[in-house]
Amino acid sequence: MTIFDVFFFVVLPYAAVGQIVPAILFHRQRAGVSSDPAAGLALESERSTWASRAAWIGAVCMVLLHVVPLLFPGGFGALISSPARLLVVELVALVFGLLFLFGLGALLSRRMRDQRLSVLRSALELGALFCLFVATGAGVFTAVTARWGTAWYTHALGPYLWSLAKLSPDTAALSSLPFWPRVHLAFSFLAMALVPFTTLPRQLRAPLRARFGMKPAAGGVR
Amino acid sequence: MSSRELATARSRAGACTALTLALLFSVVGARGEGVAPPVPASTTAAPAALAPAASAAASGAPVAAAASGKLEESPAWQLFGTRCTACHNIGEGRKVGPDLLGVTDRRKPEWIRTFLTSPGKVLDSGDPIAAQLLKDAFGVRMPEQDLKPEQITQLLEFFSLCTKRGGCKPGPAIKLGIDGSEGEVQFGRDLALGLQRLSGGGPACTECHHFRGVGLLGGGNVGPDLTTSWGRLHDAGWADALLASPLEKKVYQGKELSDAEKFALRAYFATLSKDGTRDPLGGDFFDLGVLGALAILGAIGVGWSGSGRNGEKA
Repeated sequence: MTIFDVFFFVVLPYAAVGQIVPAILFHRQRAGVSSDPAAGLALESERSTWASRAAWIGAVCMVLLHVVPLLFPGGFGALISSPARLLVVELVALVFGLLFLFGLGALLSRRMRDQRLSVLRSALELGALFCLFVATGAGVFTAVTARWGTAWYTHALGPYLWSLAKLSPDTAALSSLPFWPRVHLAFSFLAMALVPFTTLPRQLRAPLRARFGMKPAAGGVR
Repeated sequence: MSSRELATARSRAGACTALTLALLFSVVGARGEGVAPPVPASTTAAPAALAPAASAAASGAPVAAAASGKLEESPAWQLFGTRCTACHNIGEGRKVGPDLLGVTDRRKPEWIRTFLTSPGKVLDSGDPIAAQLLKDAFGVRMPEQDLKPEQITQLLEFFSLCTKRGGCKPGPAIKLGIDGSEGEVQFGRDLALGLQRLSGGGPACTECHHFRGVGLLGGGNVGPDLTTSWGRLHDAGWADALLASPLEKKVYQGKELSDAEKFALRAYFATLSKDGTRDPLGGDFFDLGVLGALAILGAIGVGWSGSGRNGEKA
């Protein structure tokens, strides 16, 4: 295991999880961009876009498709043991992965181009979005080129993630994986570390509010 | 080189080896001369199962043990049993290659030695005997065996002793995949395709590998194409390679295959190797994904945009 493996697949995951509490404090104490009226308006303008909706739907499905095999490896393994079912699951994952990628790309592009969103162009905001975009892109590329991803995710990466949870990291399976799955994993951890500090969680929540007519929180962004 | 390129390269190498193998068997042909046969030993290291015999042979251990009635314990016996019996008999008639009973009487030792050192070179040299052997074996060439001079010497002595005995029947170290029954082959197919789950709960071959017969969009491509894997590795090599990579060891930890499952898989892939034809890996997967994503984007536009918060349009 190289020093890079140790950093990206052992240190970084713990650092990402460790960021959650500081991220909450960051939002509560510094308030930062979330209470900025300009930012509030900017986020409001993004609420109902196709991009945020696509990103939201894609994100929910992607989270489910990554969490379910992790929580129920036996059942999920049995599900995908049949070639036909495996194909269906793979296709669903690819479709929603592409949707998420499209949504993130559109959000990133809009933030870069739209002057009204200049307040959302901090290095942190753009960096987190970029990491998420690369992670998703690498995931989609992996799904197409290193198939079948759901199979080796369930049987190889699942045990690795559990080993992290058990505080006994075992990266043996990672060393044999192709390049792009490793990129996907590393950038996913990077995104996990950065996203909690940004407005992205609210961004992804916005379409739900829009869909069900929920009132925006105070400041229009919470 | 990426793992994908590596897999592709391996597949190509496998195809070449299988072809070579097939051709190779034919060389040994005709009237029983030729020589030794084969396990598609490619130029890589000999399978672990061969190691004892090979190393013993390399060390010059005298086959002469045979003379004292211990022929069955000689390194040449094991070497022949593991690498040659797929195509040759000694005293039991022709297989793919000729019966080697009396080969040391029919051919000069130097000819046999040269042929065993590199069947391909002799075949390509236009040697009339080799050409006849190839014809008798229906064009199947004997593969290169990478035998050491000591091993060839031992095999020559072994052929001679077996001829005096009236024949030998060195059994393969393991039951050959090609000897699998129809039921075993079918069982192996079901396991490989995931139609029947492995007893340990491990993933089916097709989840990481492609091979002929997977159908639809093909199998996985994280691992190499297995269509000709048995042809490349033969039984001993195949058994050694089964689930031997670091990733496979990790994935199948605690999910070991039973002996019956291992043999059934070997029998199935031995059957696949008989016909080296490959199915192309499906290429429509990405296109289908794009179509699906576009359909959902359209659905978002139609079903969601008109009912946003307070009637707000996207």
